[in-house]
Amino acid sequence: MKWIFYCYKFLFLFLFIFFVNSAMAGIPVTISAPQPALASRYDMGNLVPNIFTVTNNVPQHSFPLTVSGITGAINRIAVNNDCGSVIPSGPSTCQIGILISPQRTDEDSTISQHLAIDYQGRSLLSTTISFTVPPLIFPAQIAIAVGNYNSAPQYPLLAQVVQGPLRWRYVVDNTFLPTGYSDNGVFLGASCSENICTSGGSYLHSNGNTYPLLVQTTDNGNNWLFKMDSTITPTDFGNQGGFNATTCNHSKCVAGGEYSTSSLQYPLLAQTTDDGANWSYVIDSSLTPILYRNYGQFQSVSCSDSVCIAGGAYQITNNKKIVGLLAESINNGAWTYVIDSHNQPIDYTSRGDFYSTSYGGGVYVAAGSYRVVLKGYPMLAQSTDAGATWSYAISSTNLPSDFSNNGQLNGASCTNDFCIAVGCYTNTNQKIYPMIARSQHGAWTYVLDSSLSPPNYQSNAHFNASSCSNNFCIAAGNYSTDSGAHTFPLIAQSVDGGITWSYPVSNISPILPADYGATADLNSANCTGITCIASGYYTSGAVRLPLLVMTIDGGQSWFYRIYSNNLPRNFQELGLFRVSGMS
Amino acid sequence: MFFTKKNFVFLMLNCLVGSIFNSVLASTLFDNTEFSIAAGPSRIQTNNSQLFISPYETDSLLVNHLTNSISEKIGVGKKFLNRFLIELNLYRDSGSINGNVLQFQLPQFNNYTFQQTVHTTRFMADLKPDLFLWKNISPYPILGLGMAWSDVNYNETLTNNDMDAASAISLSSKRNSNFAYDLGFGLRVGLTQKMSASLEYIYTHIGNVSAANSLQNGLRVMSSPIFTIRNQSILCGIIFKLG
Repeated sequence: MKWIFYCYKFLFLFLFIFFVNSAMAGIPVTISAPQPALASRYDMGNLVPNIFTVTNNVPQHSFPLTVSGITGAINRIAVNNDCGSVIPSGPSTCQIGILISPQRTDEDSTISQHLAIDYQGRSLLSTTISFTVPPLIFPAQIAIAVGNYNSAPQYPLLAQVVQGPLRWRYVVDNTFLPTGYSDNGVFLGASCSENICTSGGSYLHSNGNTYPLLVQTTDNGNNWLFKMDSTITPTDFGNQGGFNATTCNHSKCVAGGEYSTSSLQYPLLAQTTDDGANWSYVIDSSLTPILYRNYGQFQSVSCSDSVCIAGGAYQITNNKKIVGLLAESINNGAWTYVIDSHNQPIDYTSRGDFYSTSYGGGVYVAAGSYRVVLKGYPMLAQSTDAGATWSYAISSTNLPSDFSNNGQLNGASCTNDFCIAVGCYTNTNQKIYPMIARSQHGAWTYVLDSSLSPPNYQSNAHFNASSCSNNFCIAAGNYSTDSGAHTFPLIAQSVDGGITWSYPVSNISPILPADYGATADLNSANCTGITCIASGYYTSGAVRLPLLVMTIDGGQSWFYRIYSNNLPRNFQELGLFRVSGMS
Repeated sequence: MFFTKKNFVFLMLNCLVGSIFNSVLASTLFDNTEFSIAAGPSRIQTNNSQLFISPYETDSLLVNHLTNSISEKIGVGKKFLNRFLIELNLYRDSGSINGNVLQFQLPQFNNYTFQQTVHTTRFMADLKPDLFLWKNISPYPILGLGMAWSDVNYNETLTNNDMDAASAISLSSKRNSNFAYDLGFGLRVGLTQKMSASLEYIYTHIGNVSAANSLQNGLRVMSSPIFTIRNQSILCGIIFKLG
């Protein structure tokens, strides 16, 4: 019997060792692949969470849980059956959710992070999350921002972006200049319509003359050509001339400015009606406004399918006063002056000027300012009959409630349903406030004044430009949060057709370029669909840099796109965008 | 606490020098002094242990295989009163402990095997009194006390391919210092007047040893596993009389 006992004991020992060595090994705590599976690319604004399931196979053991290794674009979010900070006693399962939501700073990059879950076991449960963030997509057809940079010599500057990846590039800088270029290149006007963009300005030729300069693309930015330079001038061109504004509507483009003969400065208008193939001067010294003395210029031009208008100012002979000037062309016909010294505002005494023109929904407007003795008033002329007749809708009789002085309308923009005009005024507390007037069916009211001042406003708020697309409008400018030493970019936006306004761009947001120094301004505004751009400059120490802020989601988010991160070749100092265009 | 390793070595040397000095006084320097070398198979022994990963995980280490190796020693001794041999011996042993790791001390989580290697050097003072002499053969017990220095490392191997290969723990080598004692018995056979052969069985208790506690590969280990090491060896040797 004893040997049976030993055999039994040996068998038991053998079976125990066999069991220990060959038992179906399990994993105490596991993490599943995420659901849905991780993608190789995530766009900004992704809202779909990925959920990991944590399985605890250890009976009657719970574990503390911490998640680490994810930051920025990847964040843990609460989900159903969320593990929280404890893995429940096994056998059990719980879930961990993450949201991969790339930020603008992640754009056009590859992100790789290691999600690590520590449950106090011997090793972390980890998984690598790797994906690319595609560049933002510019949804409009083309946009340009123009100006100048450097000082010795100074070069013209033109940056563009076309539909697709949102990458601005400089197409006119010191490497692309007109023949005989010497110095002082600048673009002051820009406009785009469909595939055509034009930008006008001036430059100093090596012969000592300053010539009008006009650069143009007719193939959506693929090729740019100088269409007007020292080789095309008015017949009596003296030594100075330039364009201050351009506009395009389908195949028709107009550029307005001024030029001087040997002694007089005349308003200047050039035009093309064949997709930019041929440009010619349509207003020069041969067509002067009544009582013209020795000075005149156009600062803004706008065209509908049938009517073009050009706004500016000129000096009259009898009292040397500056009066607002508006020229008009109907159905590509001859240009005529529809506002001159004869039809200034009824209480006009001096310094009339039209800074901005616009067209939309059968309404043409020209906005500016004028003076009545020592007071400056906003001025807005409009035509609701296709340019046949003009009247003043805003003058000294239509003002913000706390208006005191120095009113001016610097920008105007019309859609098919309404128009807005933006500017600034000094109120009864002697502070400069932004203002926006709005009209529907020709009746103008103020929809923004001192009652809606920018965040942390202290002084000197201006709107310099405006743009509307459908019901989405913006007004761009700057303001100060102190007595004027520090100025910040300012954008007001409306998503209800200009009725109510908010300030999405101010000293609070978006985050300013890190090298922002003390001052900034936005000079231009353009909107097409849900895309808007506003351009200008900011200073960083003694350097002035071009600045462009934009939205591509109808104003839900604004971001600075051009600043010190994207400068023209050989940039040294003093760059800025003066105006922009978009189609 | 004051009886440190340094103190112990000093005491041993002091004893040796004292005995030699006394011998010189008694007769010549190498009278009753002998030199010995020996080698033979040895086997390391230990018990199961535990690996403390964290307050939330303690793993069992089940020993299932112990390796045999060769033990070596060299020593000098002096016989007092023509019967009591006191030897100062330097031993070297090595071996490895192998087994299974049961995570959470549960057999369903048998995901690793482990191997802990131990290399021991010990310096012992052994007392070997002759019991009697019969036809040139004298048996004697062995009683020893000394110091052991053990270099120990610990490595795991993954056995479950579903596990993360990087989760196998590897702990680097650490030198452990322990008081050790020998127990055993031996037989001496006189071959010539100056040379004898010996055969000894020695049981040595080395004590608790462990590998370094340092983390590797980002793994967590709260404390490295501790094994109580014992060693059994059978040594065949040659003894040379110097005096």
